[in-house]
Amino acid sequence: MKRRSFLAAGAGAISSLLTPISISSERRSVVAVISHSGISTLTGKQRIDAFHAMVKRGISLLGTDAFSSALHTRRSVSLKANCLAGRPLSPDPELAEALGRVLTEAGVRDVSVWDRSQREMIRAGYSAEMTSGITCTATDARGVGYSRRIHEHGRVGSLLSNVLLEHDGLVSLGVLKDHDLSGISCAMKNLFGVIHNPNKYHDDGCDPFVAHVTAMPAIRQRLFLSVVDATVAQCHGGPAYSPAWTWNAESIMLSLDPVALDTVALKLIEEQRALKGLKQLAEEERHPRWLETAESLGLGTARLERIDIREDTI
Amino acid sequence: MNRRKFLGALSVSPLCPFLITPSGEDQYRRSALFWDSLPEKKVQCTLCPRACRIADMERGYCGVRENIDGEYYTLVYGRAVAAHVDPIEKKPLFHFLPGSTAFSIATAGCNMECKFCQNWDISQFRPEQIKSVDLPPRDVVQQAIRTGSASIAYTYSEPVIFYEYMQDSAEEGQKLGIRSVMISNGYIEPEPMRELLPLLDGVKVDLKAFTDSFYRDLCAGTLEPVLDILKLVKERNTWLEIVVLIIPTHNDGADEIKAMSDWIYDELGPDVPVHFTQFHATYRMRNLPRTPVKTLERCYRIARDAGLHYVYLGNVPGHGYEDTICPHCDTPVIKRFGYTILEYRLENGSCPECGTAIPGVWT
Repeated sequence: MKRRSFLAAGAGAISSLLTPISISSERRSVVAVISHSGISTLTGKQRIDAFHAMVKRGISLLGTDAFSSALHTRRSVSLKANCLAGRPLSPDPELAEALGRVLTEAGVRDVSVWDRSQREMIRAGYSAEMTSGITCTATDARGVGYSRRIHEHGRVGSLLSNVLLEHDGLVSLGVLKDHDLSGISCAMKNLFGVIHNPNKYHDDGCDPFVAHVTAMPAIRQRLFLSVVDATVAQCHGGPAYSPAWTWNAESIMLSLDPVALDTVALKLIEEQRALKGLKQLAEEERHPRWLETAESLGLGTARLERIDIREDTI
Repeated sequence: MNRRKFLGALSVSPLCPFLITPSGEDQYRRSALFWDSLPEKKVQCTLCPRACRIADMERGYCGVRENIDGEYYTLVYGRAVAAHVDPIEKKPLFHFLPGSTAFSIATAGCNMECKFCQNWDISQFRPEQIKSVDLPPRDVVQQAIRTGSASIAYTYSEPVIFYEYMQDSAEEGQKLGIRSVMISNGYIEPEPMRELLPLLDGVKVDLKAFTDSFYRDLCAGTLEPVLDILKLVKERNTWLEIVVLIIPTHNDGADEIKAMSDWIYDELGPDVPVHFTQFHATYRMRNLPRTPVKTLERCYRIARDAGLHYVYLGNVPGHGYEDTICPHCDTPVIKRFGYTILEYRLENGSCPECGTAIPGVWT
């Protein structure tokens, strides 16, 4: 057996022992929103430290025990970043550093931050010089690539990034932004970057495709935390950076429930759209119906009344 | 250092991102044809019936056409992922220069996703995900000449999505006497097809079924636009052949084959060759057996009974229904075994026994 296939098989075996996300619609989900009014002025180590404090606070709001239970025995974790929109509207590399530190402190031995393309990661400010010891990689990096086997779930059939498969835990590290076709692109839509053929799944407002990608066993078993960088957020004109529609939310969002996180993200984006005099997404036929589909698949809750939004400021 | 640490693998400074794209991705980018600008840097693709509306930094369904800052580009101009010399019978085109070879090229990408695609390892990928070679149109024609090919075939994946590359290659070929054939799903808007047809000498269309539900459920497409293109190609007198891949339980019903055959007879005439080919399990349809030969033979009989003159079976080498038979006197005028011509008896394109003209491109 080749090293890669050994690793993949090993990771799969470990993951199969873990509990996949399956969140009862009867249980309340928690979404933590942590703000830091000075975050945009900080740089370097100070910025990483600030994000570290925000992540730690967010995890305490989610419940330390709940987080530990979700992390379980995972020893290698990949952070899937959404770097499509370049530096201004991608997850901050310093946030990835801070997350890596938190995970390492929790006992994770191997943390990698990645996206599908090296070029996009570099444009988003990622480099090999991550100070917290986490690794930068990309699916298109030499020797990485996609699985040989087609993974199918519902209406989706795709190869999956080997970065995903070679780690036993997954964190979706998205941004708070609008998306022209899927309505929003935050925690779950970010996972389109795991599959090799996302262009095939943008019809019908990406419904049910976003939900079906998230529900793929190889993804669902690994995904234990979703984090959204909302230091700079965008309520229209996505997925590319469109400065006219951004606002400085100066916060991050965390949840163990990706559906709940996206439901709260949708609420925040709709509020900003209203403030800016924009139509609601439903009026533009862009309401993310895939949220309800995801709830129907047991991926989490898409009903605001069943979500505890716990906010704090550093 | 771990070999998968990408910056290490790149051996370049992370501060010099331009170094990772010396002449790699961007050399294949060209302005795309057939699109309209929309507000907010969006574009409307008008090349195929999917009519993708694409935001900045996004790609169409095909995965090879991208909106970059409000302008639309093809990413696969001159970026071949396959280049082979094939018998023209492999396309299959049976009435087009029999026994000749076609220099056959493809890029990544497709505007459908057929669950039974036999070339999914190139058609269902983005260009940067597959190894490619630099093969601009002029080189395509030179390779065709060097290999003694009578034609260039745009094939394997879906040439609609590499329209600009195909168009320029066909134009270059025409100047030097190399013909061009398009091996396609026919899922293209009429206007680009009209512009392309004067550069083409033959078109083979995969008519995947005769129900819209099949197209929607198994191909992510629709039937009607394909039928429109079939009629357009016929109207413009470009040589046309049709292939129908018969998939057990999905498109092999007698009623469907009868309706399809009647439509071909009524709309295209009895002389368009129709090839019923055998399915084998692949891609996302791995749970079905090969098409029984009896099923293919039943399709053959239905099509012949409907009045079609030239009906063939494919992927069953050695079967007698690979031969071209004179519809007037039943004389075998071309005998085949798979892609091989065993006997060629046409005289100036006509039956040697009764003199009936057999339609096709023979010289």
